[in-house]
Amino acid sequence: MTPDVEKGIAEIQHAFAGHGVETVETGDGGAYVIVADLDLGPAFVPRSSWIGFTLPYNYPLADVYPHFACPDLATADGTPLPTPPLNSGQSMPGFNRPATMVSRRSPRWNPAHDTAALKLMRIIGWFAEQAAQTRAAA
Amino acid sequence: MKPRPQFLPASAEAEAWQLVLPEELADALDAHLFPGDEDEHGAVISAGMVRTSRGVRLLARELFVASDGVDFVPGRKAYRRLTPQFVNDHIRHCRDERLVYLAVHNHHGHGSVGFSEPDLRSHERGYPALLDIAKGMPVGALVLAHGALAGDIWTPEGTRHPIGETVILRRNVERIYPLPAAAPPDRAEIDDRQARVYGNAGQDLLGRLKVGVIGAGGVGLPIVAFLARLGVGHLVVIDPERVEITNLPRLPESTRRDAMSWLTTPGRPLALQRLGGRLATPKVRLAKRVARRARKNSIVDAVRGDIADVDVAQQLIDCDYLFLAADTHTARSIFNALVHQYLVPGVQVGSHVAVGGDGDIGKIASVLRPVTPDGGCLWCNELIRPDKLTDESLPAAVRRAQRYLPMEDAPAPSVITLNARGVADATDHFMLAVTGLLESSETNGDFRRYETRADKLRTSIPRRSPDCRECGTHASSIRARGDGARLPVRGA
Ligand SMILES: [Zn+2]
Ligand SMILES: [Zn+2]
Repeated sequence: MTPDVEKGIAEIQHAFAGHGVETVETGDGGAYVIVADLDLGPAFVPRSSWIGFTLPYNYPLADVYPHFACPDLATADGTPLPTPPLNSGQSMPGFNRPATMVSRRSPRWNPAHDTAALKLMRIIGWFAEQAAQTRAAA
Repeated sequence: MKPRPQFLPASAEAEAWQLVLPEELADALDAHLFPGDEDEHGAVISAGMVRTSRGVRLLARELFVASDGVDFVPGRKAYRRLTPQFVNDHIRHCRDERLVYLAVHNHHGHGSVGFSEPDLRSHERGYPALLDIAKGMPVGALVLAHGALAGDIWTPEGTRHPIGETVILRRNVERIYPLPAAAPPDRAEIDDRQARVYGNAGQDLLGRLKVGVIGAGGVGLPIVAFLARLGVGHLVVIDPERVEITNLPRLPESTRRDAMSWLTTPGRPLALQRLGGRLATPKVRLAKRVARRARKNSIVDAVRGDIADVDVAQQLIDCDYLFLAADTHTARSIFNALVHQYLVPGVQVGSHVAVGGDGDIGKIASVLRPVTPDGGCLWCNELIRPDKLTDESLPAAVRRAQRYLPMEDAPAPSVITLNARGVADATDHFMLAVTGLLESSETNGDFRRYETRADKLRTSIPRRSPDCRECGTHASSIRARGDGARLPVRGA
């Protein structure tokens, strides 16, 4: 792994201490990463899922996306998954796990400030926001 | 204790190193050393280093000016000297940052300069101890006069090197030496007409340059042809692909044989088509053929490979100039890193045809973006998209699997005549900049976009953001770090 990818993973381990963090090297300097037991908020079942993603060899110049969550992810109220950004029937690369893809690009990604850990927090934040929107709609 | 290496006296035989100064640093240094008082002034420069078979280059990264009377004071053994405190602070900074410490002062005069006897004695007294502090990094001194620079660099291995040539990366690239350059050799008859533009010195310089061309397609190949005919001595051409029949209208001197069209033509068995694809001429080999036809003694490194691979990108670190003629965001990011980390000026060139959803042709544009350490960073101008870097980093199979929106895979429209302007603009810019013939820009900046259908030229001043990790001057930027930083390429 490149020093920047190692640093990105160390930041994830620090920010998500207590959650299992698994990594597999991509072979070209990057890494596939899975963070276990994350709370997606009340809008989704199961409410707790792993989230996986890739740090490309040229991280942090490259954005970190898409993310992947458990394959059986559904909405708590039974409405269809918002597609995009969610797409079921996908596979988390590196781990070959069936997965639901969460495709959120960061058009304003800035390599000087953005990190994989911050991006993961934003993804979790996006899941939580869906609950707020569901309540607002109801 | 390790015995101290015995230093050879500075001699004419020692390999001369090259020094590269970005424009803003050179301007600040000039203003400090030559304020018009005809006195001596001092400073320290920290520099990154590049070591290749072409020699060693020092890349000026930071300038620390010494305040007269505070940091730069009258000395007993020399007219003026840097105070021990100033030296100490900066040698430690250079040690921690793995940069080369260079003590700088000036003499008077124009066009030639050299260290005085007291200067050299002070190096002999002081530099062995500075090398101990620098822990593996070279240390040295520079002395400047108007239009001249000399250096005396000491290495931990016990060698001592003069600075042979200093390259100042202004809009026109300047080169200064310790002594006025010797008269250039007479030009060969073949160069008579072109050397009437930039002189025998310009022709001689072109012959000594190493120029990298990233991409040997419809833009890169004509650039290679032009550079070879200009007499550029050493070309490095990078492209992973082989010639296909649909490339032929845009690749000068290519033939159906290069594309193996008799095998690849539709209707042939697939196995034959694939075989033809494998037997087709690599674009870089075509480029080498084109260049060697232009100049049989030109050196051409034909690198069939991907710029994102470390061995490929490394071939460009000691170039004098780069052309980016490949349009991926990955190529842009590596090119931009090369310009800033290794202080190699370059230009991005390309043409683009906008196609609407209905297939209608929209704007047709030819872009030219000179990229230099002090102006023209592709990151700062949002010309590299981080999400595209991610897409391009994925293996093709994964990329296809992750696509959930239909994306057009249709090849981009491309016409040789539309590429011609970019090729001419880029090679003109290079030729004028390296031979010193660019006039100061009356326009609004050096980024140019010519809209062909509308016949409109738009120029813009490149933006620059101080926190940029490539062109920024802050502590964690890669600027001028040379071999001390990593390029954004594949491999741990
Ligand atoms: Zn002196
Ligand atoms: Zn920048």
